[in-house]
Amino acid sequence: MALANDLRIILATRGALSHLRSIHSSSAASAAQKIKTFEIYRYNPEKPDEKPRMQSYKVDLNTCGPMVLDALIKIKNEMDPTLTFRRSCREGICGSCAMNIGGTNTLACISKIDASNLDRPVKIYPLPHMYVVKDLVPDFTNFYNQYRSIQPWLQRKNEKTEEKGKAQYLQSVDDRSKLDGLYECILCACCSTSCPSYWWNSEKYLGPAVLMQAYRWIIDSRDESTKARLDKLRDPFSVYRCHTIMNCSRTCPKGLNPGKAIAEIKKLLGGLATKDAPGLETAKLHK
Amino acid sequence: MALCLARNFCNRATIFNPAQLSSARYVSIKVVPATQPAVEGHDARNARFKRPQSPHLTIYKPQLTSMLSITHRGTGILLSSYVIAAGIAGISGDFSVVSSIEALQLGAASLAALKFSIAFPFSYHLVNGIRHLFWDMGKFLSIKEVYTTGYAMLFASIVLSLALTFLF
Amino acid sequence: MALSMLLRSSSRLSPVLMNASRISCAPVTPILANKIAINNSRQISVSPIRQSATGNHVALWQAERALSVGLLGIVPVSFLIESQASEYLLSLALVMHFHWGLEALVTDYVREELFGSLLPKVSHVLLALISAATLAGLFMMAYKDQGLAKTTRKIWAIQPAN
Repeated sequence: MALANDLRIILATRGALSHLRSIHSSSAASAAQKIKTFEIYRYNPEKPDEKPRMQSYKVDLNTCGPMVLDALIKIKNEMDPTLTFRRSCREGICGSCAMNIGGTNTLACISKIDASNLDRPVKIYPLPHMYVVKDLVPDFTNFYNQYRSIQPWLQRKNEKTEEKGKAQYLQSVDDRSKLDGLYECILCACCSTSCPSYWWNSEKYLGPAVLMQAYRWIIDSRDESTKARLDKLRDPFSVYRCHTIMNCSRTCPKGLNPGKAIAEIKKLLGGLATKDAPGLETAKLHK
Repeated sequence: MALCLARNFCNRATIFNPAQLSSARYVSIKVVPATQPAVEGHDARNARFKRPQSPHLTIYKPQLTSMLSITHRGTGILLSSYVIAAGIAGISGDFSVVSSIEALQLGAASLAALKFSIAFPFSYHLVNGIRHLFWDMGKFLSIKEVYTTGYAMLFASIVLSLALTFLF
Repeated sequence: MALSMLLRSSSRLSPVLMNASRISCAPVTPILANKIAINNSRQISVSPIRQSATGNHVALWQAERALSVGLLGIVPVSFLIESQASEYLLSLALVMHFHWGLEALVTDYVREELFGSLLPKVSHVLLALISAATLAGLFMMAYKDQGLAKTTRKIWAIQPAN
């Protein structure tokens, strides 16, 4: 009963002091508004015959977080709820918000808005040369199929006698360090969609992201199907459409180097390098 | 697991047809040559949805990486065209490249420009080619090294082309 | 389970389907089989469906790099030492180098999705013809003592007209 009364009071007086809030913010707002223009690619699949277009939004940076994703969310919340984009972790680890910002592919959540130059608009496009589902959302089906095709899991010869999970597979510190810079990939596809070769041949060329993961499994000391993995990459298209353009490593938002990984694959394929024997007896604890 | 699945088949059959205990579903395996299932390709599916393709060349920022790379390809095409032109003209046996150029009676500046138009693509392609060979060995592939060697290559190729044009 | 089998067998490295022999009930022929005959067949593939792109490009890649390294030596030598032998060698090396380079270009850009299935093949043949013709012409020039290196030196030696 008392609770119901309290609730009634709260409901009646809600928003009573909000005018104070708006007085405060409007004075601050009119005092110094930092307006930045965002030009964002729009496409509506419900009207597929309407051509994609650029739409401008003006955002006050004083009331917005520092990252491009903050601006996108602010636009969606306050100005245009139809603006569609992928996002999740907001801290640069999930890879959902990968898009082309200011001409380069990066993650919107860790891409700072350039507040120093208010005259220049920020241009935001979806990842290049991808089919657009809606606005900034591309179709990743082909990318995921390519990732699946390189069999990104551990493969051993004696899988019948070595019961998985029964004991750990031993790996020396040096062998583990070979995976550094490879395993951290978040599969955001910034690199693959920055590669002109992947633009022109995405059906048959695997692209830097998938190739770096292929390399990650090839040089894992615990993996034993190295020959089979390499044999699947010998054709003219899977690896050899890479011409070391190096846009991939330039654009990686996690600071990884897929270009180098591809060069190492080419060395392994061409016999210029061989995979080292494992530093420790891998299945020692399985005996 | 396969066994309990088989058991399930048989059990379900008896539930559906209580009168026919022996009408368990007859499952047989027939080996046929593998046929490609009618899978709609990625392009076909997206064409069906009439999805546009996101812009690429028109919006992607020109960077040292991509610009030096396409210039390497461009100089390669240019040099190939010189060699192809010379070669195909040379098939006849009578054509002389040198005489045809002499006949143009070019001034000093034009001659220098002509020489530079051969020397620069050659120098660029040569020095960047060496950079490519280092990359094939796995060296100089960090972004910092790509940029450093890129600028060094540009400097070296300009110096070499000027040297070839004016000192020989 | 069938789905997992399908997925496993659609990968190119998978061995033959393992549980195939165990999927069968007691094969009792039902009395009213023809009335209950619902064609409930499921395609389970035991061989890889998606053929991997064919061809071995590794040898070509190795040859391209070897030739590039070779050219690094052949070009300065043929300009410093004037001899017919070096002219023939230079012509051959140059034609092979640009042929492989332009072949990569044609493979990259003349794609089936844009140009259909005929034009890419035609372009590759055309390129081979051009390379062959160029080689013939350059050999002819070398034979007439007007090899590429010598011709280039002569172009460089042209005096301005005044």
